[in-house]
Amino acid sequence: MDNLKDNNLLEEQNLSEENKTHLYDIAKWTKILCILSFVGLGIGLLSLFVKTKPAMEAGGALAGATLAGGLFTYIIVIAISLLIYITLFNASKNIELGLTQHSQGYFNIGVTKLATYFRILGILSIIGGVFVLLALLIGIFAGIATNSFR
Amino acid sequence: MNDYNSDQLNNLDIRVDNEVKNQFAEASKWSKFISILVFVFAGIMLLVGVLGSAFILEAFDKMNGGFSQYGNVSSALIIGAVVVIVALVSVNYFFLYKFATKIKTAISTNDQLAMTEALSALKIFFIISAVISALSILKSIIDLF
Repeated sequence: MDNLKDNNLLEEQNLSEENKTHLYDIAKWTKILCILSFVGLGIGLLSLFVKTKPAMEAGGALAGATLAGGLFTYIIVIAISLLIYITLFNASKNIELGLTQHSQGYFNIGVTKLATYFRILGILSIIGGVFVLLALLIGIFAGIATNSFR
Repeated sequence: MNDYNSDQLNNLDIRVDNEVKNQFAEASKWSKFISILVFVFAGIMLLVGVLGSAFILEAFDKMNGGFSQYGNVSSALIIGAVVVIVALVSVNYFFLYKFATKIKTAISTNDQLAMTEALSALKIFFIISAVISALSILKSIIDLF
């Protein structure tokens, strides 16, 4: 919002034909990326069942626990992925509608959703980064501790 | 009459209005943050991958015995794989970084050329992301059967 104080930002401009083509392509490729991600989530779920099935048939309690744990983790992954990719899919759909129907409203919604997509990705990157750093620190300290006990 | 129609069509055209500019500014901020974070982690991954491969092989050697005869080849393979993955990810996120910087210039100076470069970079970022996604799905399918 601070950017609005900049006079240049208050000047509106038409999108050039070249930029419209780029935006069409962005909408097309983000849609492909979303569809691939939805397919990937399905395959991941299928893979989880296929890999634990032999152990489940053998009647192992451990396999049941592994499947339950895997499912729980996978539900979280699916929920986060759906949040990300549904937002991106909406961005793609609205940008495309805005460009094809010459609708400023749809276009604005599309760009807003695209910004939201990057915001969600950024927040998740912070959370993921903290986890990775913690894992690295734990690994380093565990390594030091193991070596000092030898 | 023609000029009038043309003006009417121009009025109907999509504009980069203040709302769009604000959203692009927001997207620029977050995408720059994400790409810098990815560059940092790519560097860490490269360091851990190259230095860590020696330790991993040493551990394999202790577990299996006789693994060391393949040590040099395996080490080179691990380092090669890490370098390829890090390079691919870094190139992809370089385009996101380019989008972030160019779109910021475009909205603050109303520069059409910068806008074109930014959108082109974002398009390439999504194309590479889709290709990586397709390859990982292919690998999952191969692993499944």
